[in-house]
Amino acid sequence: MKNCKDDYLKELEEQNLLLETRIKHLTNDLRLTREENETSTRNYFEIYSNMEKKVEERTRELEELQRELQEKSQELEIMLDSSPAMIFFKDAEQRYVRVNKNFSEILGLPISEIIGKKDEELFSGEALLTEQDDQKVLETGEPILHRSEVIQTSNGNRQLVIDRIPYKDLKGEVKGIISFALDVTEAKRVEAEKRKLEAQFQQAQRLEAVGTLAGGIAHNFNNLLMGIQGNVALMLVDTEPVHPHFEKMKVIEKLIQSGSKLTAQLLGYAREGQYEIKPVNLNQVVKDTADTFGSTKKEIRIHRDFAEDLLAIEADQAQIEQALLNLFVNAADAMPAGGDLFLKTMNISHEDLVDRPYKAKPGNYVLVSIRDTGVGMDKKTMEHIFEPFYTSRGLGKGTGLGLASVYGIVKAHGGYIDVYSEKGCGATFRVYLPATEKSIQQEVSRKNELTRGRETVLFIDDEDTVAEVGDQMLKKLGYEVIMARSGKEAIAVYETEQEKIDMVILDMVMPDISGGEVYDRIKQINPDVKVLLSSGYSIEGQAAEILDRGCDGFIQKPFNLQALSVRIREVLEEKRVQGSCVN
Amino acid sequence: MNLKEEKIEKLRKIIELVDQSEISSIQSVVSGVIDVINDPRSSAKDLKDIIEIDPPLTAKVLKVANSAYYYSPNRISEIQHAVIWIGFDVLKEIALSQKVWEVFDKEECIHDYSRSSLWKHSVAVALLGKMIYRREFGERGENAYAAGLLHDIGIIVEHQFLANEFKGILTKAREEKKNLPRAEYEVLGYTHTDVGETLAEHWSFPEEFVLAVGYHHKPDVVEQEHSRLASTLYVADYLCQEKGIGYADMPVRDKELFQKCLKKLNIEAYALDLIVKDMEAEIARMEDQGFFEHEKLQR
Repeated sequence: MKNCKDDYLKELEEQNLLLETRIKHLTNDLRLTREENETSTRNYFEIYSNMEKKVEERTRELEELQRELQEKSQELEIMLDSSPAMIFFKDAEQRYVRVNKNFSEILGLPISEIIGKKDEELFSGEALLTEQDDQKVLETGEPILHRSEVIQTSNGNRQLVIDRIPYKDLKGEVKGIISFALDVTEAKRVEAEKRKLEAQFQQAQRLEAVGTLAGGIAHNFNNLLMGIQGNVALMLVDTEPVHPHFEKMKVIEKLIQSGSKLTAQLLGYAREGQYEIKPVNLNQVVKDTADTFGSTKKEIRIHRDFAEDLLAIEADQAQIEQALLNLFVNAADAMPAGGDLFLKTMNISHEDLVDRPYKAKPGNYVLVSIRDTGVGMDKKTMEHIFEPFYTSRGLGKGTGLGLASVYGIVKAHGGYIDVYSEKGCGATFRVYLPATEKSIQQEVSRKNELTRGRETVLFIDDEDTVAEVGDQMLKKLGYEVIMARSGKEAIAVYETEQEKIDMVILDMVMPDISGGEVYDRIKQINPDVKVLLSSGYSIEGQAAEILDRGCDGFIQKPFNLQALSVRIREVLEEKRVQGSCVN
Repeated sequence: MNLKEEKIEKLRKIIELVDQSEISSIQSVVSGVIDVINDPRSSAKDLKDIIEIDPPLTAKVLKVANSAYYYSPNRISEIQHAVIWIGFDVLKEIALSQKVWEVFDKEECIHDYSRSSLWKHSVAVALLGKMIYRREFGERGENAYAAGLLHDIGIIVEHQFLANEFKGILTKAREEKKNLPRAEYEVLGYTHTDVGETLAEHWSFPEEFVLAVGYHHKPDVVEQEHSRLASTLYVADYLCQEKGIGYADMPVRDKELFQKCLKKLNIEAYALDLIVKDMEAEIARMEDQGFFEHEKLQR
């Protein structure tokens, strides 16, 4: 029984031990498991928060990258926008993917309205051509360069030169088109203008060449006329007025005068010729010129309103005639079907010349106004009317020099010119020339009587005819003549025979030494030498220059016996020609 | 050269071979996990980094973590999710076992030895060692688990580099009914415990770990302060062989030493019985999951 009980107790004890062990095991396990779970959780949050940090880092990195990308893209944008070319990308459907600022500006459309559109939606007309070229580039993958196209934009038609380049991906497949278009509208315009200027320049050169030619012809022609004139003059001296040839010879002399006028015109055209300024009666000049002009233009009625008391002007009569003629021709051109030409002269003072584009110098002026009833002109034409080469007659027809030379002549005389006109209401040109107190020398001072003398004259001329006839004319007038046929000879002769020589008649144009130089050398030998300059033609300003240096007089070839006799006496008697210097 | 020096030289040579072989490829992960186990400051993030640097391992770990064995409620596709669903500590075990498995994964039977049978044995010892630590000592037992997995690594090394001698050793042990270490010593002059110890030392594992691997056949030699792991390993090794789980290298078991160890560890036999039953149940479950079959874990 006791054994039994002991056994039972022992068994219970064993069971108890087992249970205790189990409890111990479970307690340990549960505690550890809880700990582990806590660690796991803590660890998880740690990872999680690390992740968050990592995400933040990555986000920052991404932002940095994005910023860099944006900068790069901005750089690209700036580059694209800075280009003078229009740059644009199109996709394979030829829709605009990207365009630069220039493109949108030339089109006059905001970029947002261009993206996604096709050419046919933006342009009309030439879109087809563009499409064909685009299609070709897309199909062949080859660029098409330097294609000229005209597009219509809100800024008008623009001329473009377009390069199309295929946009290929890494595999070489064509994905779109990159195009560069240069707006050459302005360049083309400038080029056209340049061409026009060049043409004008060539025209001017041609005119100058013609002028030089005309001057040369006039020179030779004058020498011929001189020969004829001299011979006729000599014949006339020996012929009684009752002789049947006398009148004929007079006619020849007149014809020579006409021929001489012709050469004068040629010289005027060449902007060369004599400068002989003397007091002139403008009424007379206007009347004479108008008469001449009127006789050729019967369909134009000329009305004259001249001031009786008109002051004299100091002028080169030939040039004034030329200027007036040009103005008349201009008026006639404005009246192709005929009309009225009103000519008016009057005295005014600088105080009357207010509200003009120029400021007149104080003093008295003589006005000549030329009014026509022609087509008139607009303001723009008026602004350019006095510019050289400006012509309304179309290139090649008019010289464009007429009114310009008028302007030049008026200016050279210290005068002013202005114009008033309205389209369809005719035009009025007013020329103001400074008045002078000097009295007008009577043309009649050149009377029929020949003034003779016995002095010795050195006659210098390289032309045979001129030399011969000059020699005879001088001898006829009673003078002793020493001939020199070149500048060199003249200087040599003067050196040895200066004691004998009372005066020199010097031709201005000679092949070896020019008249100007000969003059200077002779003047060196004898500062008191008396020299009469003679020329049929003068290199611009040369005659005037020599006169300026103290030359005693000038005689225009061809000259007749009478003119020669008067001029010689003037020189010898130191009656220097009034106003023999220009300006 | 005396015997001891000769042995050291031989071991040095064999470790050189290991260094040049694929066995060394498990070193970094295994050392890393052992460091995580022994460093109280380490976190799941360190473990996660160790696993994720090795993509094949990551795949294997996730596969195991998703297996029915761990009852994971969701599909785990990231190591960090595995941390919360199956736990940090379990994840350490999975990582360790999956990595160590790589060197066992080569089928070749020699008598009753095969790498997979040795693997099953190692997993059982690891599991049992860990359970003893947890239940009896109230400690995590992760080192016991790691030591259990690697305690017979020396056998793998011998098999790999001394194939012929190893075959002879197995035959000898079988024919002469000797424990493996004895046969090894007779043929090679050293044992798989020497190889394991040298390798663990070479891989800079903790000292207690090194001694446990090196003396799991004679835990009584280990000094008191490091003897617990070695003794636990011996007990676990002994019991697994007694229960016939996997390969057995101790046909002749020293019951006296076993009792001595139990006494030293202060574990009652009946308490141990309870633990072994649970261990057997776990191993059975693992077997059900096919954890010891090659194809299943390999890929």
